[in-house]
Amino acid sequence: MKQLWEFYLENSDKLAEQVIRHLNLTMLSVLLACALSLPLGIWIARKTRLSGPVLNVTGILQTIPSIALLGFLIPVLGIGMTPAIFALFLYSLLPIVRNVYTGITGIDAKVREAALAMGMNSKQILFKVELPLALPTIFAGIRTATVINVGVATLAAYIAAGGLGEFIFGGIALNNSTMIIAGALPAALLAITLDFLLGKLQNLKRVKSGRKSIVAVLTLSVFLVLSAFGSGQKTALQAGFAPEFTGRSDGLPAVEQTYHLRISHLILGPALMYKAIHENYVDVISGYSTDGRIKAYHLRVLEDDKKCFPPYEAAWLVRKEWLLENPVVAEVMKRLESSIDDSLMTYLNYRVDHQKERVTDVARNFLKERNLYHEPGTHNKTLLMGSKIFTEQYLLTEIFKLLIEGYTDYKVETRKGLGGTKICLDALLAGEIDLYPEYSGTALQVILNENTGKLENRQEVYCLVQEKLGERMDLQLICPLGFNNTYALMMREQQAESLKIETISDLQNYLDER
Amino acid sequence: MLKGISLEVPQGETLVLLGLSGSGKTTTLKLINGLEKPDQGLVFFEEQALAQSDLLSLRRKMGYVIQEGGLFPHYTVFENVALVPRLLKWDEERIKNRYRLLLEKLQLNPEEYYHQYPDQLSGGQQQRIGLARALAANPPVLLMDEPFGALDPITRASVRQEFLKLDELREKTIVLVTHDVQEAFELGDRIALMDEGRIVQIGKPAELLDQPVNDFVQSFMAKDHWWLRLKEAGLDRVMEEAFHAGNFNVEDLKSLIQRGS
Repeated sequence: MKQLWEFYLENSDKLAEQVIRHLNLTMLSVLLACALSLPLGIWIARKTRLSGPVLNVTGILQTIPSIALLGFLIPVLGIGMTPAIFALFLYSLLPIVRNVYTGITGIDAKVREAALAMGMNSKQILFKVELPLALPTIFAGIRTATVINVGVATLAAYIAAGGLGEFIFGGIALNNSTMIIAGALPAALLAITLDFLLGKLQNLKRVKSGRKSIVAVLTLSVFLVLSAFGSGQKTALQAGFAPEFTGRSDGLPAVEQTYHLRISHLILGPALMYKAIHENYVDVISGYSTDGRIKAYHLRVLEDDKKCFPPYEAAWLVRKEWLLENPVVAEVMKRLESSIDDSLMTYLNYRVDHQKERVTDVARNFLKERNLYHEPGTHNKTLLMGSKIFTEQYLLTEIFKLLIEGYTDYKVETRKGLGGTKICLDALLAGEIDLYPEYSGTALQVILNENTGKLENRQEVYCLVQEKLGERMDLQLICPLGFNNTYALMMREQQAESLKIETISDLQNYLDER
Repeated sequence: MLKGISLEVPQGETLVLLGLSGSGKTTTLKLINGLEKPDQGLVFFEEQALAQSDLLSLRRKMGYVIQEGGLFPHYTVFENVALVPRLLKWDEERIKNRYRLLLEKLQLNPEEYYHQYPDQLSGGQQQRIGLARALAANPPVLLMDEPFGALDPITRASVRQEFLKLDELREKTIVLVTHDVQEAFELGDRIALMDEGRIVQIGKPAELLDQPVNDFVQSFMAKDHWWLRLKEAGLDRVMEEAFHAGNFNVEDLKSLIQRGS
């Protein structure tokens, strides 16, 4: 609690900004959705033949995973508020349209018949009979959409649209529970408050206050639009960084300190960053040096000429206790020790990310080329292998799964797609997985929360991490793979070429000249 | 569904459409105010074919009463009654006076029910408010679809008695749909007996009773025959006829006495 309070005191301006932004996202999208859903719902209530197709389409929209939807929208709408609001708008359609439709079609046929027979015209029937009677149902739909949107809006942080997701995903990336709660708590409160206020609004039965509330809603939306699209200062080049990169002391702070680099940046989800630079929405991103998309999207990795990024050597993280019980596995894994270098890893990633080859095929071919592939025999024991959500880790788990199954009687079950270091670590400590690929620099920074100053030497870092992990958590790194997947700043090859930028110092010089 | 329907309702008459469910009586009723459109043929009101006239203003001249009232659940009793006058843009004072007058005539306290909603009322009360709503703008025509259908027998009889006493209804042209033979005989100036979308026989109640055109008409009224005769002809003649006919038995007598008419 105390930590949370201190965090809020330190970040009060950020908190206010994020809450307002979160409100912007949620309410603008719900308002837009209402503007479309009300007429649409009324229309399909009149033409019930069309209700099936319309509800199906809105239903399908609902099933698109939010991150995927944001990814689809980048080429069309770019990054920032617009695609975020549009995505949230799409998610709001189903609950509102469905409830408008259900509300209107659910009205007692006798009441509608009476209204007609009294000589009401269709407009009067709609506004005086159908809508008032359907109102509780319609409001329930709007409230559902609002609560859903408060939740989904956290993901807007991944496309530089801000909101409370910045704290939440920053916190997940940095293994900082206080920060996660700092974002999740106001989001929950926001959901409850908005739901409560909408409930109040619904009970204003009188027509006059109804009109007042319409005026209030309109004023509010104008305010929302204005506050949403205020612009910040920009430098000559625009950067897009992952929340993890901006938060970690060996990320952006290190670059700023070492190179005195000043560049205006947006917060982008790691999965969406490459797309954003490819589509020219940003000019510099914080990637990883072995990412296959570097090759695929023709990006140039800027040389870290002043060595500010620490080494991130890949190895497998295991519990010591498990290692003692399963020495055979470690023995087999040794066959691939130090056998994958940076360019090989980038190439393997590239084949999956860009050539769209299947992870299993790439992994099997890799082993076959080295004569390390054996058909799996009978299984007596099981081991659980975890991985984070990106291609390189999928590849490593697949390669080692095939290797271990070929040489031992272990059956390897994989838990792919654990979303971040904290989740992997918690799973490992809880025994839900037995091992997963980790990087020495990450272990140092995120797991051990150790800020050791500059450590250039790979060996030095590896040893230090090994020692601390053993002391504090009874964990151990085994089988270092030989490549170093470190942070890297990267630009589009073409732009970097024309601006003559090869190193981070070049980038800083270029920005200073402007 | 309807076949060869041809009928005329003169001003001031109460015509009852009588028949079993599915016989087409409600459809016939809805043809009159344009809720249903005929595939063939024409409907005239005040010498004008329906298709050509403005349906909205026509409907405002025809009160409409349906089973269970069909009241708007989100409107108070007053708002329900005020509906058509408001559509006709009466001023509020006139509407309120009309409301008070109507509710008093229907033996309901106007102030007590003013702010109540339909779901707070009993079935009989709802039915009476439904009638008040239909009468509110004093329309020359009243269309009623099983207006007493949802009421229990006792309430039904008493509401029907009130209905007969209402001076509001004396001048009106009324078309009433029912499946209840007794109700038809009690309320109708003329009765149109319907079956399978046709009018089997149309005429004064006595005509249907005395000169049924076929077995269907006769059998439709067989159960209530003696009661209906009593209504039409009076006790002396009924008794005389009954004993002449020879088929009047003790059970018939019992049921006559039970009804207490």
